[in-house]
Amino acid sequence: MNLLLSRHILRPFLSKTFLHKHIQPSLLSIKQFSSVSNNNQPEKPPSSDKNKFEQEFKKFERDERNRRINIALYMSSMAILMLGLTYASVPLYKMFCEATGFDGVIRKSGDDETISANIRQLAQRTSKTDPMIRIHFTSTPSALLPWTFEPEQHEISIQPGETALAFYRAKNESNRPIIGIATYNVQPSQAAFYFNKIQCFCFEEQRLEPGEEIDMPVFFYIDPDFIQDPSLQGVRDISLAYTFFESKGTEHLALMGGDQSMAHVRLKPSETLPYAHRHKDKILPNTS
Amino acid sequence: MTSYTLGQKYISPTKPERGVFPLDHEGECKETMLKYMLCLSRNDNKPSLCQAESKDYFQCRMDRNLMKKHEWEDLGYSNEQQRKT
Repeated sequence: MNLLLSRHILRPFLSKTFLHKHIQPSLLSIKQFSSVSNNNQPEKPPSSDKNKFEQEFKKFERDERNRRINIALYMSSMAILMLGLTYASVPLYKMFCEATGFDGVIRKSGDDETISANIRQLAQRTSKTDPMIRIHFTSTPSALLPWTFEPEQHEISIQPGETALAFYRAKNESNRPIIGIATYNVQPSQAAFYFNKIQCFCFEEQRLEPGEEIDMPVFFYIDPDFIQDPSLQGVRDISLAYTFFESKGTEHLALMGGDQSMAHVRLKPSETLPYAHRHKDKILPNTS
Repeated sequence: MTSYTLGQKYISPTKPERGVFPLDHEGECKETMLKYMLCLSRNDNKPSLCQAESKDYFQCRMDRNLMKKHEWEDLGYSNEQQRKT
């Protein structure tokens, strides 16, 4: 492929660009030629030899030149190929990671059939001798969020491969509806790869009316391969921490003191930062 | 929340496989949830011993359209485990 590249693309291009170059027979090439020709042929009468010598020399020169040009083109096409591979490696690596779930990258979970099949196979993959793992539940509401958010149970003990249900409870203590989004964190971080959440309440906006209290379930299991992982030998405690943030949609209400008459105001991102009211720009009611 | 620990690779949280549980705003399944919690506290926080109560909770959710209907096997309750309780 490199030769193809060099011969058909680079060579015509370069020969057109460098057409003005004249190749002079260098002393080195003459010496090379004479040594080559002397080794091949015995001594001949010098009279008829001269033209033949010139022809052969020119031919040799052209061959040398071609050889050199070929090498140069081959090298440059290699360089271009490597450069192209560097650019291509970014999407290729992404595809590889998604397919194999290497290094904790988001695995593209298939449709419901594959998920159900995976769960059904869990029973076959677990054995009764698997050790019990303790899952600890913690929670952190964000400082700006007037919610109480607690786990209903501090810990549960399960075997890897067993599905488990756990609950969190959240209550909106303020006097305005708030939309919150939860995200979670698993410690130790290598265990995050084996922590499979079937269903939970995270990453989607959850709206709570003032004073509303809600139970939020988390349904998950730990992959049985957890036991075979050498970096997780002896790990028997996993910590699951949930955090609730206010959704960007209603955050500005918190900054305006919860004044609901300002609900239609749309703020620029710079205006939603803390201490935005100290900036020079005024917040006008009808900006979009 | 994402964690950066010294010298370790960054692992980002993954989305739940079956998506989000719709919120139980009316508290329709709160009773079953409380029963499950009581069972857990009685059984040393082991969900494997509280399968009946957790099944009740899922049944409550499925009946009230708060969850997609699944077979029990799809939720990880095999017959073998049923015999354990």
